Amino acid sequence: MAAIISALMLNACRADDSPLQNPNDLTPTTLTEQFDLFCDGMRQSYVFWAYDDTNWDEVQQRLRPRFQELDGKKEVKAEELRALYLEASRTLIDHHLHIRIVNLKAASQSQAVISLYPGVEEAKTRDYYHTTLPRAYFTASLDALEASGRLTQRHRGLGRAPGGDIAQLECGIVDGDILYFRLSAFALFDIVNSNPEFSDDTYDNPAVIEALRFFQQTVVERGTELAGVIVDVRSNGGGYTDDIPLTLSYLIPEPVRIGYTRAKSGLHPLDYGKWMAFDAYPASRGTLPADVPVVALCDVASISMAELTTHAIAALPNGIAVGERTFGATGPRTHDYQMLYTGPFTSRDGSVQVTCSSWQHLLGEKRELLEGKGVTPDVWIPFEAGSETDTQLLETLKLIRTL
Amino acid sequence: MKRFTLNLLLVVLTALGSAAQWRAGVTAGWDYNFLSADTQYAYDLRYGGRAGLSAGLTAGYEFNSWLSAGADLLWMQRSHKMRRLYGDVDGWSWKECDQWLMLPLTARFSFGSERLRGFTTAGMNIGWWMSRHRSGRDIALTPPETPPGATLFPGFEGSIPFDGRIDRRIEFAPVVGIGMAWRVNPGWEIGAEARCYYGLTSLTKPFGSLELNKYNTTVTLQVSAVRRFGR
Repeated sequence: MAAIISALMLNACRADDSPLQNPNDLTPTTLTEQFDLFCDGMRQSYVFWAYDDTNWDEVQQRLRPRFQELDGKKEVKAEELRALYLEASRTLIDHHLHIRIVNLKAASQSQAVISLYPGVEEAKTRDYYHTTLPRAYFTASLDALEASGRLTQRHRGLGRAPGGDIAQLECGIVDGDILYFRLSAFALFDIVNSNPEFSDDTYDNPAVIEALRFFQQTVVERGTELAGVIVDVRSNGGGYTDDIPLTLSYLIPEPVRIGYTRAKSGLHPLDYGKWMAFDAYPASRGTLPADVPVVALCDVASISMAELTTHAIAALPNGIAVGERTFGATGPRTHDYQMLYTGPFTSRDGSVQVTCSSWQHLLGEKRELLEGKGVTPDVWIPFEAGSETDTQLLETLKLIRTL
Repeated sequence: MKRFTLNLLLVVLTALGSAAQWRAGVTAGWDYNFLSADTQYAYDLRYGGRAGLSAGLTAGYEFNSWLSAGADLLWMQRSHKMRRLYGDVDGWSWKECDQWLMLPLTARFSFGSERLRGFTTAGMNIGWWMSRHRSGRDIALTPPETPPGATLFPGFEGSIPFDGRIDRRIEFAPVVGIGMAWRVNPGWEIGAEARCYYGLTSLTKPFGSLELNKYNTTVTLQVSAVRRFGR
């Protein structure tokens, strides 16, 4: 009996844990509860606390009374709600972060939902910021090159993966010996493997696959004839690392260290596992010769996989990055919160939906943390708003002759 | 009253001094460490215990035949393991070997015959977490068509650096023990003891208002050879 009492007394000396709840299991009923769920969820799921100086407790304590005030109102404007969530999140470095909140006090349907990308708000403060260039911009740019006779053997397609991801691929030979490859999103693996035959009035997956095969075949079979390769990832919204073997792998004769990733290994916000190497391997069918220059053309709207690709190309002995500093969303994402205890979460009723990175990622062999910063190009070629020509591409075509 | 207290103190000190004896020696042993952590909704996360070794110096001062005070300086491995079985995911696991410097300060209560004596110990340990080493498999980003053998859970092995924002490297732990000692001759004694170190200091620091603790509980079996001085 004495031993049991002693054990119980000793056990009482160990501090109790804070009770945790999986944010995906909760249903908030007020704006304050939504905010609490957002804060508690971020405290657990945000993967960059080791690098982020934001005092999250202070943020929650400071803003919570303002949500309570909103709960006292009959109606709340979406702008008010959005401003508060922006204030809460604007210093967070995760540029994958997307916050979607259902306004429980909306007066009308137009006020019903707020959607916020804090990373975009940060990017807007950069003096070279511009919005994502539409697919039509690139089509027009290449149409002009083709009309002038500079672009030949043009292959292109707009594909749609089963999950809904859309990728525009443009490929061709410029000035006789420069291979141009442009991709709007890294969704090729699913298009190639899951839905290769799909086509309708808008999408043409076989055309995308044909353009991809042209790129791969040209690199492997005519690589020695090329003066250079341009990988255009401007306004590429990112996608899946599964595309690496279809794209980057054809440009690297040797394995390349994309970087190091680290996932959580427990529920504590700073309980991380081991840094694990993240490598790309040369394509087994063959690759570009090591002495052919490769240029990654990027812009402020090059996101995630587009940034990883840019960084990897810039790290090649024959590689260079040109354009603008990229967006800064480098932490890979998964969709399974329970697997990594990080990343996207959604309240049970769907009224709080947060998308964020699931992994920490340090880029390259030098282990650079570029989350919230982006990849800085070796040569700056900013987008010229109002210009009728694609000056970034034209300047890159000049530059590649000098490499 | 004051004079009575002084006289009493004098009598006690004289009595203790007449039987006082120093002892010093070496000790080594085996231990098994358990990591206690509330994994809450991470239902697939499992921590398990692991065995380790310890070695060090031991010293003490015997006030009389039944009471002594002691201090050890020990190097001790206090290890644990982790494994996750999430859905189809299997293979995510590692073993962690932690090196600790331990300074248990104990009182020993002895009983028994002149040569073969039993004893119990009780006291407090101050521990310093010196290093940690992990080996196992952790999740990695692995694109398809990687070379044969590449896996979602590549193996790794290496030291894990401490992070002052989460790792608390000093630990206070009550320690209790029970053992037997055999006096080979008046100058030498060999002994065996089982101890339990019950960590009261969490190995993890709070993250703001969020407190998620991990505690060590270590059971040791150690043998010692001790030289007795004095008297």
